[in-house]
Amino acid sequence: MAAVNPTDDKALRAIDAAVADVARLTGPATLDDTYMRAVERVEAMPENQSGADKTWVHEALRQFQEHFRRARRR
Amino acid sequence: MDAFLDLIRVLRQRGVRFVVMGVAGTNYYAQAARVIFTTQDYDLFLPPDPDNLLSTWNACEAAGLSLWTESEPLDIPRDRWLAEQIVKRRALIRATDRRGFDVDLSLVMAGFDFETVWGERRVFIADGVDIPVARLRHIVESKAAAGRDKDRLFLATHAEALRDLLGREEPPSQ
Repeated sequence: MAAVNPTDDKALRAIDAAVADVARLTGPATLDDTYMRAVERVEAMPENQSGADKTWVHEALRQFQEHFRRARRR
Repeated sequence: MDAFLDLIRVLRQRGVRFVVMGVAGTNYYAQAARVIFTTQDYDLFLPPDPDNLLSTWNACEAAGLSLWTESEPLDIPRDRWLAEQIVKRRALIRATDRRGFDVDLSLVMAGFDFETVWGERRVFIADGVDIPVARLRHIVESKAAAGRDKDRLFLATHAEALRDLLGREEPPSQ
């Protein structure tokens, strides 16, 4: 196997550091049945099936972002 | 102009396999603007496939985004060898316009493998662009599995939003 040159080695160490950061988890959270039933109800809605037009979601996000961009401290 | 839709359009044109996950994914299931989570951070879940990853990087660059790992630019040449190393490590790469628009290119979705999520994805449409999105159930379960503070905060907020949305007939207590 060919040796890894110093530049690649630096890059791979940076990548390993990023992976270790992702791996620092605090343990799973619990999902209660009521919440998951609500999630299922939302998923089952006709407007949440494949093919639904969600252009309005992007428009709403654009408006939010524009609103916050214009915000000034009084 | 919508940078995220521009990127999705290029990814689709190049045949890249991905699904939108995370907070941005949940927004597609919102029923009203008041339950949308404002975010400029997007998360894409990719399969552990070096060729697909290379195509993703090329698409990001074509969309005017630079690629970073941790706090350093992703090494050049961005070739198959590098893609294999990233896949092997399941490392996170961030595509950014460096003006606040960030897209995390993730090979990990806690608790799930790509094919399961891909097989049950929804394909929504915005401005004529097809957007593959993970199931809401998968996004929520993945956030619970990750269990970071920000995931717990999201889950509590999302449960509250659903309670409002569904008329409080079944109050979630998450």
